[in-house]
Amino acid sequence: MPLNKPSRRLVIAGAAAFMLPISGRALTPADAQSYVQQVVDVFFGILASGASEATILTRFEREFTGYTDVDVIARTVLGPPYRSLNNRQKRDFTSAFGRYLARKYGRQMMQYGNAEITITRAQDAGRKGILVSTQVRNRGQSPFLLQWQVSDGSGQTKLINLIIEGISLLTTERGEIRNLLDARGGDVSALTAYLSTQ
Amino acid sequence: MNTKNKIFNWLIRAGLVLSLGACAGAQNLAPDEIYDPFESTNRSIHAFNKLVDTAVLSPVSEVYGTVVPEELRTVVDNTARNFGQPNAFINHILQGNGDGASDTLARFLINSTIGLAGLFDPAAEMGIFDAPTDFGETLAVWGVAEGPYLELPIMGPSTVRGTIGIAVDLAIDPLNYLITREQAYYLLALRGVNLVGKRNAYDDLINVLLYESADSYAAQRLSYMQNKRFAVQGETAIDDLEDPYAFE
Repeated sequence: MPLNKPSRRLVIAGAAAFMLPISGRALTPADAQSYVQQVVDVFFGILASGASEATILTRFEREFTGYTDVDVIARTVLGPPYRSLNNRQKRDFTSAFGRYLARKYGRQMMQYGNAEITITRAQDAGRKGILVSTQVRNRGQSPFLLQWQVSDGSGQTKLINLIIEGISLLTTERGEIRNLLDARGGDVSALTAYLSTQ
Repeated sequence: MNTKNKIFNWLIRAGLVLSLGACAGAQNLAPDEIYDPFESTNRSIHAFNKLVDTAVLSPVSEVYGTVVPEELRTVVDNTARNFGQPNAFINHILQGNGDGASDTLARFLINSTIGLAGLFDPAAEMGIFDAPTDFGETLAVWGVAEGPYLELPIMGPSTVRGTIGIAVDLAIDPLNYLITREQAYYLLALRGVNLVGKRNAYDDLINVLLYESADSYAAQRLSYMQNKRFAVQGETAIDDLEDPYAFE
């Protein structure tokens, strides 16, 4: 039948159109770019506010944990040991880790509080989200590349990694957390206790 | 000539190590994989370097940062960097990197003239930024594998490929053939002062690595290798990105 093929296509197209709203609109490079612009404005607004270091870090921690998917970062950085934790241990580890991460990176970013930050590129990395590149220029220093990996894998648009001149937060912290855990004989509770003092 | 003989001796030995290194490290490594067969020696050297930093470099750089005004520190940094441009230019050419070579040449010409012999960096104000490189990166472009990780005394993290690069850079730096022996001493002194300046400028980052991480040797090694591989690739490869949602 001549109508057979087109109608089958029509059915598939109709089904696909019907399914679209369910899967949701994928995050586009433009979305990720405006998200990063917002994050940069908020983060560096705090870092350059001129308040005391303690105040800056407290405020930075709140915003950082809001814009970052700390859950997924904590899970992937701890790796296999995460699976054997109970829900309460998971929650405690994640919250201590988020605090540690925010304070560590907040302190490091503080010296770039007054830097000029320009978005230079947004690359679609498929399932891995969008990689937004920014150029950071501090007075009297060569500019460097700071990249923000953004994903809506959790259902919400969030930061999932920061890459500074090729040095990835996920890779670096996975190494660090593994070393910290090894130094505590693999005891995640001891690690959690340590992280919450940082 | 005695010095020339020494250099050739070095090159022959370097060539031997190079071929060994290339064979030993030819495998393709994942972003967080590091080939470190000399770890115990490296760790001893790391302990020594850390001691030097704690006892000398860090306190001296703190004084340097307090006593020397920022403007002067920038001048020292600019000048030391300007003297590095001829060697970077040669390496960009050897790598076939036209943009890197022309930027480096333009920076050298602009900063040596308008920038008063490199004291200032007007090229950066014009948007021509520093594109540092070395012979280790040239070897990488030529397809030589990084080889085993090495921590060098005083100079810090490197690889077999990077170490050979340092030796070759000493031999091919055109500046060495243009300046007098006395000028060479001044240049060495300038680079020494600038090392202190760099320790001061990156104080926070270095302190996090050396004094706040669980294992400073492993932390420094991981940072160095990630940064070096990025410098060689020239960009972050999308394929190397992680999908953290893949881990359940």
